[in-house]
Amino acid sequence: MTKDKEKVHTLQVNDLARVEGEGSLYLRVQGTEVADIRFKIFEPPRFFEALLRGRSYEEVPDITARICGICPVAYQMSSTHAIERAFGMTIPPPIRALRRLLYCGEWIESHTLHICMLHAPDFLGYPDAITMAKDHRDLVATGLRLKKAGNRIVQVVGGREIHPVNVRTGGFYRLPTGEELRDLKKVLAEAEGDAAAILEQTAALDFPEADQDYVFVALRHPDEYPMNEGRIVSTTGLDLDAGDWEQHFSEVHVPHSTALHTVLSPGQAFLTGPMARFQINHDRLPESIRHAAARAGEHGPCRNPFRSIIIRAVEVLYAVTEARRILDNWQGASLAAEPVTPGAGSGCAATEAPRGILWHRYNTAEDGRITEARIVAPTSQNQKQIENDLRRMVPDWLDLEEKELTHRCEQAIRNFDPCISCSTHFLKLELDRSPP
Amino acid sequence: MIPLIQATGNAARGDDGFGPAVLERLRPFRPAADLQHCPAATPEMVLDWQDRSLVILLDALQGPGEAGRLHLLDLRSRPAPPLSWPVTSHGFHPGTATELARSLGMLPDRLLLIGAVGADFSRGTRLSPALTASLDEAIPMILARLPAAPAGNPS
Repeated sequence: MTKDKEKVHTLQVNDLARVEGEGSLYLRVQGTEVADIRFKIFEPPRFFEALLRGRSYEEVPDITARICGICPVAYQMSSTHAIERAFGMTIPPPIRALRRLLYCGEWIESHTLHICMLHAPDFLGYPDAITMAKDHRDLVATGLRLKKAGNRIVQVVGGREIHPVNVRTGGFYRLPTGEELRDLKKVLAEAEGDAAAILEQTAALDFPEADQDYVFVALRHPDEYPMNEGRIVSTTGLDLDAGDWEQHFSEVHVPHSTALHTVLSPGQAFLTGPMARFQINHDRLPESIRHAAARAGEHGPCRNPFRSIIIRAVEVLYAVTEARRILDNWQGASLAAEPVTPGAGSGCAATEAPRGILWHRYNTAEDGRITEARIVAPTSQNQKQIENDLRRMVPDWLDLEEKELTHRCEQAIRNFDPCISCSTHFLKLELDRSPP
Repeated sequence: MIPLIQATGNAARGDDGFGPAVLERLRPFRPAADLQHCPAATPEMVLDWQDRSLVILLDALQGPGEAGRLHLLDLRSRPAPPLSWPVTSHGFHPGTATELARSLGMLPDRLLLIGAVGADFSRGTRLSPALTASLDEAIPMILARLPAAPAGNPS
């Protein structure tokens, strides 16, 4: 790439690094304007929705868990809640509490992986976490301990740490033992200090000025910071039940992505994920967590996507304290699962995956077989916003050398912690510059 | 700290189940070591290596050699290969774990890999006959490197 702004410049990043899955970026710059930008997801479609048709409702949590190795709990929770709604079931408080504990485990392991292993190297100037670990041992070692703590929750409640197998319609196949939960309490007592340390370290990073005007969309619950339940709420006034999602959101195909772009109908980009949750639910965080966030410079709202690493660290600290609260209040459950009476119906549910809203709908036959399934992953929802962010930011970076420009673009994409594997699947950057 | 035998692999993916199968075959010998099964190689597996005198990793390999052939590698003394883990958490393996532990100063005094060359890694299958035959060969390789067990014979 030359610095002659009168020429066509193409920047191409062929394999985007430190994200989950495979994608690339094509950028064509004409003069000082971004003429074309394509966040390309080229991983083949995975056809999970078609795979689910004709299957028993009993198989759905285990099949959907296979969509992602990082956030399988989110898939199990959204699918299970949707099917329970289709069957008209209500879930008793102990099962609800265990599900929230399981979700805390996933937030801890997924966010910590992204903060310490995938995103921090951008801010500290390293190509990868292994190289970074030589100079920032505490950051990486603390992150690994936290990730292990999150995995331990998923293992104890979910049956195993990757692609858990213990979730079923109505509850769980097996309740964790008292000994397992006591052991978990010890693990989490140590994890709380680690989570506070990670938040402090992310707050000390240098951030470029990059505030954006986002439409935030997140779940909102009457009492809690949202994980498993809540209405779908936006900063533009939307307030919906999950069942009304399809009336307000649509999916559009773009030629350069095997993942559909989700838009607020008729075509508006929006942002889901930690920044949206923090903006919409700041008042639902316990006072101690709000104070910790404020000490890290985040009073809400956060509109600088580079600072999303801090918001993730706030959510890790919250998830650890919430998991401890659940364990402290645990008084056991009479049944591992509510009895299930399958029937014909349709049920929708949205839960908060680490990367944002994960929406599912299932139509079922009388015997509980799935007749139709629809799944909208958070990265699909954020694709259009990723392109919009780059379209606004890149003109400020055009004086950078190609290597630095490429790095900035990749970092801007990593702000979203995209899970391309979920949305189908990261980054080639192609920059094309042409005269005005 | 006592040695750690850490097996990675999935018993439901054919020869990928070599590591966990060796662990099960080893257990009756009551080896003077912690035994641990990791379904997949992950960055946090290195946390358990720190301050150990010896860590033996068990894993299936894709070559070189015929199916069932055992390889013993001293990972600590091997020159560090070029780093190749900038892409995604999916590409993590015992080699990248070794380099992560080296960066973190968490390498044990000795870090060995006993690997068996696999033939079939198909989903839903069990160990191939060649890998099953290699299990008996792997046990003495491990026991010879451990301190004396409380009881010398399998219980």
